[in-house]
Amino acid sequence: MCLAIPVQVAELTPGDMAVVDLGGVRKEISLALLDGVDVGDWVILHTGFALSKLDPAEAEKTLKLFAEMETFEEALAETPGNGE
Amino acid sequence: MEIEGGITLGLTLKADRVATTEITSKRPLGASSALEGRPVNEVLRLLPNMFSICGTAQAHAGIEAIEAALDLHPADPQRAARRLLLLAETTGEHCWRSLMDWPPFLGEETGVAALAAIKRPLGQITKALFPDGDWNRPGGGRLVSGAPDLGPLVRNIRDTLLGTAWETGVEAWAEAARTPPARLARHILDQSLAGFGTTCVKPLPRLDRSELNLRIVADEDRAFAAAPRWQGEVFHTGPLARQWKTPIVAGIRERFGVGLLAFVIARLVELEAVLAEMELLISRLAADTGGGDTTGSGSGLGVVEAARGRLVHRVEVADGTVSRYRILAPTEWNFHPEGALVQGLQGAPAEDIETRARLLVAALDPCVTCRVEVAHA
Repeated sequence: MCLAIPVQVAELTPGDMAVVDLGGVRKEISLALLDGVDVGDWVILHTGFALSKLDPAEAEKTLKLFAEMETFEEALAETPGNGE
Repeated sequence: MEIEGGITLGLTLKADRVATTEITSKRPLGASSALEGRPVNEVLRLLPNMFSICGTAQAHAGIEAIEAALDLHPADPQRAARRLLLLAETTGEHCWRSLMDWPPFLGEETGVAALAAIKRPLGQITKALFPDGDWNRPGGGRLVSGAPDLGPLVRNIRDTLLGTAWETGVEAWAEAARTPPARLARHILDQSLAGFGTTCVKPLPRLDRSELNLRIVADEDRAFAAAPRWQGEVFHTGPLARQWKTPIVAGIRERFGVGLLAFVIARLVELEAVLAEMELLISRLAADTGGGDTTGSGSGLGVVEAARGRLVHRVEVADGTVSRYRILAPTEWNFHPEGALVQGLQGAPAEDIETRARLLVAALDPCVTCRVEVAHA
């Protein structure tokens, strides 16, 4: 289960590349594996490649879910017998 | 914390051998609990976007579990279309291993352009079958007729990965074909690494559904989900387990053992079978409107063979809302603290061990990063 973090394309750059905003950090990613990506699109990122597009509402829901999950994982890790 | 987690494989060398092998996993096993308290339709929309590389398999297992819980029975074309999408994902993953993960072990560049020529058309299949993108709606989505012709894509994948002489046996193919997987196979054979990492761990058999259901129900502390055993035994799952009895794979097992070459070749054997099944499935599709009542209650299990192995979802639904969600993923079998990787590396020669261990890890294909750390006792 490799969790997917949605990122928003901020800028298209030469060579099928794009700049995305990753939690406030700008990062260059490859669009080689995906058709028709534009500025403002949300994509799922894996090892530096955009894998699929998702609509903004879905992206927002997914990001919110991950924020909740992080809280849950922390709680689970603090339970005796669980986590590292 | 790092939300995605990761695996660390620690090897300690003593007297030119691997003396101890240890796996530490920081994978977020509680992730599925974040789905609880949400309506089933929302959960199904979230699932494919939560997981980057196996979103279709996760959504497929999820919809199977939810439909079982709600007693919904989608029409045959819906099932065929879903399976087609699952196989398209598996194809993309197997091609990724072959073109991106394996070439660096040969000192070669990754094959981004070749993978793009495969992944882009694969990515268009969902929209072609389900224009509204609703394939994972309970009871099925709006499935249209007029499926795309997969012929050119299938031929391209075969040419790019298998090339010539695939039918002539592994050694002849490794010698003759000019594809990245053939070059890896030749490297493995030349370096006498075919049996590297040989393990006695067996392929995961069919699991009795009611017993599996009970195991997951009782798994309050997630010990089973973190390090699964079945009837006291550990197993491996994935292409090798699935292709265990095919003649090419059985032949390699007999000659070289259940090691590196068997894991690598099983993925290619599976790729060929998957391509054939995709072409068959697409010829059987028919339009269907899908849909169903999502307000019911119940519990259900969804079991699918994802690219990396058996993936199990279990769900409890109360009045159309998910009240409990659990996932048992293939990486937990393959990267079990006493599993195939660990047993295969125990006692292995220390020579070039870090690279070889990384190659074995790549052949077993974890779904998260696996760091290899080597220390001397």
